[in-house]
Amino acid sequence: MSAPSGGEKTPGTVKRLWQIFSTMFVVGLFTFGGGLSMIPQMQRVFVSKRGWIGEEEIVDTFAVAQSLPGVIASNAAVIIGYRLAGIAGALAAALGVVLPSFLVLMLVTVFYTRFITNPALIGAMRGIRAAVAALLFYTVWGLRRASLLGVTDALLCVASAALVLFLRVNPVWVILGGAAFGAGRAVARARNRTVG
Amino acid sequence: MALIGLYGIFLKIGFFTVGGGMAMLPLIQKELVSRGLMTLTETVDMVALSQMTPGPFAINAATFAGMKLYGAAGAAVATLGVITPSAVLATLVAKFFIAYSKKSAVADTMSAVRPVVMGLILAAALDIGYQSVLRGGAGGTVDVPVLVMACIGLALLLAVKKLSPILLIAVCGIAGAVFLQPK
Repeated sequence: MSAPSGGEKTPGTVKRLWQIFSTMFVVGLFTFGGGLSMIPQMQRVFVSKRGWIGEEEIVDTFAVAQSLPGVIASNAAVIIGYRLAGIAGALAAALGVVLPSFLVLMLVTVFYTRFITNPALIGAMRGIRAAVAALLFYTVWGLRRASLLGVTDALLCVASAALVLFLRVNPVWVILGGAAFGAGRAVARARNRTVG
Repeated sequence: MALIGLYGIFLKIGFFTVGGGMAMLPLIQKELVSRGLMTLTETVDMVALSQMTPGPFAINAATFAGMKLYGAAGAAVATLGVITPSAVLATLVAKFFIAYSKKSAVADTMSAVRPVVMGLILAAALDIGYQSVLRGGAGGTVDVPVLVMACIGLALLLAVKKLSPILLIAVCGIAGAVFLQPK
């Protein structure tokens, strides 16, 4: 799984690429609220259902995806697709996650003023936002074992949320700050080990 | 020629959008509105529309702007432009990241990044929850039906193992279309 198999031209490769594309298509079609709102669905399909990647890998992927320039959703899709099937997998994943938005917007742009004032659609969006909020809270709850290994981790988690929510710090700086802290901690530990 | 220009504009917007879709709004303002390619009203509508349609905000916005300017070809070119930086950079980084993720220095670094990402998801949950439950922003009234729906959704997710996120989104969407229409 960790070694990209994009070079092989076996019948299994085409099937795998189709699976990656179609899975990402469905994820794209049901993502509302962008970026991190994709995580619950990706966890469900790639981790629980197919077992293609581990739970921490999804979290790591989104950390990298969010720190890179570019659209978070396609960054994440490219990283996961690459991990599963090399360059071809990355392309299949990116295409899959982008295509639903592209097709829907092409259709809707023509009559968008009627679309954004439609009472039923406004009501539907209020319901969908409630569902997305519930899904995100549930994801946080589900991650507590994999991501929170001690008091320091819990503090990091709360501090990060506060920085983004109250001080409106760009998430990229928060992630890079966490990475710097992790690297510093690793260096300090290594030094203690050699001294003691 | 106009299409090449459009590709360039969205390539730039894609590249400088770091940290999430809303980060592209100032760039859209600078690249499209100030050049007279889009009006401010259209930009406001675009934000509303992008939030009411599935998928990443950046892709929705690029398709909308491209479509309005030059039709289907414009939509395709703008979308390709906005995802080009992802396709190139994320592929390079994926290669590097997969090769080094087992190294202990990278693993140690990621162990501190994971709680941070969890915090970011918590922030997104609170943000979306706050926006949907409070009508009219800070000081607004609490939207009780939406709050109840979110709580029931969360309870169901905790109670029913492997409840499909898609099913929850679809059911809440339909319930919203029926019961939560603005009066």
